[in-house]
Amino acid sequence: MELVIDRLTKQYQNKIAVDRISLNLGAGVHGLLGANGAGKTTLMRMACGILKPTCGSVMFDGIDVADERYRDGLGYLPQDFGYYPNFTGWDFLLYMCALKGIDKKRAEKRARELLEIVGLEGMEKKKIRTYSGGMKQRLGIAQALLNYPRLIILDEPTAGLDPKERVRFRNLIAKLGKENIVILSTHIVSDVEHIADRILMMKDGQIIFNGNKEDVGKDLEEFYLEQFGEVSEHE
Amino acid sequence: MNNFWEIVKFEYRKLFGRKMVWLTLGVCIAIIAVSCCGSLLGDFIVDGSYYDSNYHILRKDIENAKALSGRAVDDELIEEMRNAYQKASPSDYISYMDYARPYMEIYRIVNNISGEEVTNAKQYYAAREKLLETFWRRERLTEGEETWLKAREEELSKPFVYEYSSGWHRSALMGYTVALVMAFVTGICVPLIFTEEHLQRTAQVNFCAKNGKEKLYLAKAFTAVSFSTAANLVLAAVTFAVTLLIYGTDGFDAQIQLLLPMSSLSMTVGECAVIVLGMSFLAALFYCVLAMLLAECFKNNVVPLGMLIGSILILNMISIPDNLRVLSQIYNCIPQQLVSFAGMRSNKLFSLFGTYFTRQQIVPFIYLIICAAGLVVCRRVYLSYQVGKAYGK
Repeated sequence: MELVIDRLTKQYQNKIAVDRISLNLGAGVHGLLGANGAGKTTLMRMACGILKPTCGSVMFDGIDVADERYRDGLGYLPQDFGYYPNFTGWDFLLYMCALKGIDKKRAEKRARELLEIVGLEGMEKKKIRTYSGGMKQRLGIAQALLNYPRLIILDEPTAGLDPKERVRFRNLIAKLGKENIVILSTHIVSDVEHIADRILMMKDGQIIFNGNKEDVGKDLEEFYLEQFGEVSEHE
Repeated sequence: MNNFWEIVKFEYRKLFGRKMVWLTLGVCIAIIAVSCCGSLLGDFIVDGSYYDSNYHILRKDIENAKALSGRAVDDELIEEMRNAYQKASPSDYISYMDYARPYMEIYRIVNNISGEEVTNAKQYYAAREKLLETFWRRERLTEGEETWLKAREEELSKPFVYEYSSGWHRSALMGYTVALVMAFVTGICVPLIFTEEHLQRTAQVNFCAKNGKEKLYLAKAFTAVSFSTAANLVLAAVTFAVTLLIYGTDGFDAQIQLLLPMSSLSMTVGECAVIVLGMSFLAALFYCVLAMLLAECFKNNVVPLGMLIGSILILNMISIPDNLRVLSQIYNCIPQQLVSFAGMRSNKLFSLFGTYFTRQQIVPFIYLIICAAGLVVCRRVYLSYQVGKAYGK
């Protein structure tokens, strides 16, 4: 199982958002750290196939990102997760199941499983517009996992979750990371520290660090600030 | 395939989950129903004084018209009508109501051609033939078209036989209103199907799913087209139901020449009503595909409605003279002309491989081709959507 990102670039008129990034990612949790505007979300969107790169390629087990089979094994939770206000949680999950190609019987079983995993059982018949921020985020996590994805891309997944929910989520991601590729983008360094097998740091569209906790050799937050502090000194 | 129908079900649920859709449909159905029976309301005033209710006058008119049904427009009937109108005093409206009004329909048929100069049937049919030739010259018809139309004229049964057919006539007249109302319905409701993902920011999640591109587009297009068709069916059904209930179902087989004297086609009033309302389906389909395309191009609910209604208003203000042959023929094929009852009398034909076709025969194919092309373009726009650009990151 391998996600191959080869010289991926996204250039807008006056800015290079992602600058020739090449990565080979295997099974495990890959934490992606970076400041606002570093290019993390742009990179994730290109890896999901919802933003076309200027050049470069993304392949998962030899399948190009534009292929329908790529999306069959993909689960994505965006940073600004939207929903349909008039849908109930149940409606939304079944709708997403239909979009992910899951038949109705399996869809209902899987939706029930995930509602329990994310702690929303009993809330599924209520309209999403009545959910709290944390509940909406948990619903977003649930929809990302409906199709047993092998490539899971999560952009700020713990935003809005309380500490108890955050711990629960970390355990879930750690479990998923054992057999799948999980890319987790976050500002919360402790999330990456606890569960990431590999740490990627991104600045100005480029990967400035790619290693594991042992390579860091110190407190991750200190290391993170050093990396960004060192670069700014050089400038 | 199962997933496709599940997705369509949810698209309908999203659409009907919005109060705006219910409100629009309710108001539009009410507009159609009231338009059909508006003439029943109020009072009939003569010289500033109450004479009778509009409803009662209508019932009398229908009774008088039915009494004339089955009679040929010949010397006898024209003579009766002239005598009745001569009995009525121009200054006495009551005498008009008593003597002349029962022959109002025959007066209208004769007057449409040439007015009071016509004293017998021979003069009437000769005047009609002369007017037809003038009309054909004005429309710049080719020799081939005139030959074709003359052959159709030979097939017409003369003298014309009067039949009371107000129910079908008024249904046909409502075709324009139905099409206009459908422009509102499609302009308000169809963009919601395509813009919701952008407004609610769910496009980025949907586009990641296996069926989130091609199949989702097909499901949305199917929802939009089926919704427009069903809404048009409801409005057409309300039109027929209310109009035929009030005016009756008589006269389906009445000759169209009694209402459109410049038409040379062997068509009945009932057939014309069905064709006009059938054309309203084409107009609705056209508006639907246009609304879809505009919604996808602009990612906005308001722009499609504004552009649809704006284009209808602007085109209504334009008048293209018949001597500009090609332009006027194209203009006759735009949706609001397509559903115009008066537009059915247009004698301009379409020539294909040496055969002549009427507008009603050729336009459905043209519209289906245009709509299919619109759906293909809309698909391309839909599939080319890039999340990053839209969300400003």
